[in-house]
Amino acid sequence: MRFTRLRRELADEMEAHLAERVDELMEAGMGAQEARQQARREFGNATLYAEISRQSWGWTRVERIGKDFRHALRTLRASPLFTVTAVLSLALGIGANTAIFTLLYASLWRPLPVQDPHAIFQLVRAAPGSQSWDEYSYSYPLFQQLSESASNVGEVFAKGGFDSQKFGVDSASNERVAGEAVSANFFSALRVEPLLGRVFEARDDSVLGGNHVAVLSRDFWMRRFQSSPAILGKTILYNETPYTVVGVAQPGFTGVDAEASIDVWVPLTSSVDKGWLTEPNVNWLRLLVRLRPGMVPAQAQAMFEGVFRAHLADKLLPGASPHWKPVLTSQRIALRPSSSGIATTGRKYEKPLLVLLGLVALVLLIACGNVANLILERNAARQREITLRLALGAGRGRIVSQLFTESLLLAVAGAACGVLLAAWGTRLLISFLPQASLPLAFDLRPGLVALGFTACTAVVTAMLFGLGPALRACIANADLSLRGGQRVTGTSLGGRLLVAGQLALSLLLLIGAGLFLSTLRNLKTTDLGFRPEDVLTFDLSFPKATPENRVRQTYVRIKERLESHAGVVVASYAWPSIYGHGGWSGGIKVEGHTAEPGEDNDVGMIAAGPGFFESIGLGLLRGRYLNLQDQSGKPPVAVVNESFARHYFGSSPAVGRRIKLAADGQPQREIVGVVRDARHYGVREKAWRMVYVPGWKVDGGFFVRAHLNARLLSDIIRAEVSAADKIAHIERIRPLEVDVNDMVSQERLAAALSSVFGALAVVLAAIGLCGVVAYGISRRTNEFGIRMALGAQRGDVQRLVLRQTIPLIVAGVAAGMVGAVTLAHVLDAVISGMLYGVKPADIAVFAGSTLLLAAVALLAALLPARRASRIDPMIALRYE
Amino acid sequence: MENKINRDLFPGALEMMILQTLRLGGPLHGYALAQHLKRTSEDLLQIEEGSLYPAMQRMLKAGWVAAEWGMSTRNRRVRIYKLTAAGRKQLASEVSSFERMMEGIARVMRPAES
Repeated sequence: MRFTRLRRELADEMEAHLAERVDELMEAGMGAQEARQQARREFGNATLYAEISRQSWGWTRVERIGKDFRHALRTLRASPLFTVTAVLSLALGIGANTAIFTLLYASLWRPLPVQDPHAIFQLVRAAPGSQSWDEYSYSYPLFQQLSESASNVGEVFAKGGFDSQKFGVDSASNERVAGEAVSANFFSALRVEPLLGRVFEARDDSVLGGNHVAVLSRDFWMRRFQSSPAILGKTILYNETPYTVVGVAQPGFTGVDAEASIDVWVPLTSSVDKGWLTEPNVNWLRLLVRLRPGMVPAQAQAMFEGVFRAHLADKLLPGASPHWKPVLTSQRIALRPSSSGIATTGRKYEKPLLVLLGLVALVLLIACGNVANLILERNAARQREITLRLALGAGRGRIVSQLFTESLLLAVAGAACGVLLAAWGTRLLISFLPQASLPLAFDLRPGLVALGFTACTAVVTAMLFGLGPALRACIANADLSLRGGQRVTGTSLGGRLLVAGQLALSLLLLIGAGLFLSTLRNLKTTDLGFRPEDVLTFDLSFPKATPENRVRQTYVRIKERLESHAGVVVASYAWPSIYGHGGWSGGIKVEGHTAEPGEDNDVGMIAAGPGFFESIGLGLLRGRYLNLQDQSGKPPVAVVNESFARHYFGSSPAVGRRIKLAADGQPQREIVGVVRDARHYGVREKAWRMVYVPGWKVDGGFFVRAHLNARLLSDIIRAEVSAADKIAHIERIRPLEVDVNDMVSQERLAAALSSVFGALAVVLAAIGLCGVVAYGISRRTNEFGIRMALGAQRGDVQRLVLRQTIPLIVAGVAAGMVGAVTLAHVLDAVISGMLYGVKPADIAVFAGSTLLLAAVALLAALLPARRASRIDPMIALRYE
Repeated sequence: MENKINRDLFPGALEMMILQTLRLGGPLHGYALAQHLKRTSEDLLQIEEGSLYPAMQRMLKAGWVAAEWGMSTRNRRVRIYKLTAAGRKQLASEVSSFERMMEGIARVMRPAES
């Protein structure tokens, strides 16, 4: 703006000067035409003076950049094919990087929108080595004890798990919201202000039985209540209990879990049975702390650890079972920085995502290689223009900056398209993650950090692919290219090195993809012990006050109704889940087996309805399955699995033996059958000793095995459930395979993405190789023409081309192999945990990837070589 | 490139003369300044009128002169330059160094007379 004004003023001023002179000369009697010429002569070169004047403003640099920019835009528009190819490959590379970075940022790094988030830490109750150590690790009494003694360290606050909760305004409905229970100091410790009304205060937790008040998130308030201020004081139904809305939280705050966007908060004390508030053995809370300014985390941790030890000795250890005691004493409290919240999902996928980020960085490098090669070719074609300009006195710096501006423009265009691709890609990534009853709700809005990442990537890529060719173009021998006639033989060393590098990187990616794919295959082909194919599963919920008997009858009616359909093989129910984390376990006494001290006599248990084993396809080894008769509990029976039978009875028959379950009202149960080992707790987990007892429990899940397609069967299920009991509500109908797949979601994510990127890398490298070979041939057209005129056969020419290309391929593949072996050793610890049934340096994967890459590379070289052999000697020679 | 244009003058000479002209003649616009220089030097100096403008821009930037838009006697919109306090100081220092230089040159050229 300022620049254009200054420029216009200067032009006006000079114009006025000339006009004054013309006037004066004409007054002296000179003719108009002559006067103008005279005035101009006396003034000198106006354009030159204007330009020199402008130099003193210090704007020339900007002006020059503008000029370079416009020039680059023109040249890029002049060769659309080149531009589109370059922008697309960059967009893919940058987009993939941005997508993965965005997900990492949203799930792991985005700071909580609160004041000074770095003072916030999570209290992790960790039994080193165990798996689910951060899940609901604190009881309410322990929270209170930690909170009271921490007053000079910081503020400890607590929350239960977030979940999908029934919600209604006037009457109960099937509406669901994301809700969680939090301690009364949750908002004040986080420094979250109310937008409307108030947030929770200390008194909300001190009322006996809890104060039934609720705080809404701003988003929910806007969405559900159209931002009506009349919401304050209104009564809502949350989890079928009336609550009074007292406030709306500050904009942007949706809880401390990155993967959830909370709609409704209620106080801890109002959300559970009173018994939970005094029971030290019910662990259902997560604790966070805002440390006081200047407080060192290590010091705070030592303090918490002391309180925890005292609590253990006081409350937990005296009543603990001998099996449980060592687990308790091995637990420690650690402080984990949580400026971005709790990030459970983010931490779970951190490793695969970081490895993938590394892989897509390689893809981007390969894409850079291609673009650099394209530019090298283009610059070679423009060598005469460049040399001419150098000869005419253009500075090398000017030409480099001009060529680099082109690259920068390409990178920026690529980044812009990449950001669009990334928006779609991030959602695709999230669709790979398992969905619970509450869908994952990461905050994916593009922020400064994500855009900054993309911008940096763009600039770095531009430097990678643009600076080299630009510098090279200027160093090229000026004489040679001016002398006309492109009698250059061979391809540029730079281009060949680039292609070899691309092949090497592609091999790394292919091997990575191969490893992850084998892992996934190994996991999927591992025998689970049951057959999840052709089974749909769903959960039911009933209004709170429904009598248990009615619910039980509904279960039986649904089973009967479903089984009356042709195509439905068997329908049954069981509790708790048959596949996934957690479950039901307890101690056991086996008749005739004397427990040794320290022996683990805990077994996994499942309460199974009639037809349960048939529905999930769990094979019978000896005895019989549970039948309808057994449901009455007279006589009490049980089915055990192979591991159980082997552990307690060895080779002697298990059927007919008696066991006593600690969690059981029944005196003793007789074992009537032995079934195969099923991995109920995940593919990677060992098969536990299991006891299946006939029975029914509220919240049991249904399993329907049928020869019908999933949609048809879902419709049948919906109709039959509603016909069996109108108040029953279906939570989620899904194939049982979805549950099984969700357990390998990390591996699925790694395998799917690494194979997509591996394929992309190979295609990019093949295009690069093809281009370099074709370019080399095009520069040697007249040489080949002469050879063929002198009697060379087509095969000879092909061999000639291949003889030059094969060393390139071999070099690339060898370099890639060395790199892969080195990486496999260096990253062994990181990668091994992500693999299953395959080693980081797996020979089959290495050999397969190498063969595949070599084959594709040969093909890519063969295509242009065949074209070369069809060169017409006459046309080729006429070139001369 | 600048040196080529003012090949008859030493660097800074044009600026010095412009400053002096403004000091004696008061605020002037570009054309009047050029004519004044031409007249007083009696056309002895070969200055292209256009070369005034780069010099004016440099001095504006240095703060030796200030400019504002006004009207010429022929009623044309022109930029009128006037000397600033900094310009006055600059002129004094340039004049003194110029005089020293002239004296030096003179002594070299006419050694007998000294």
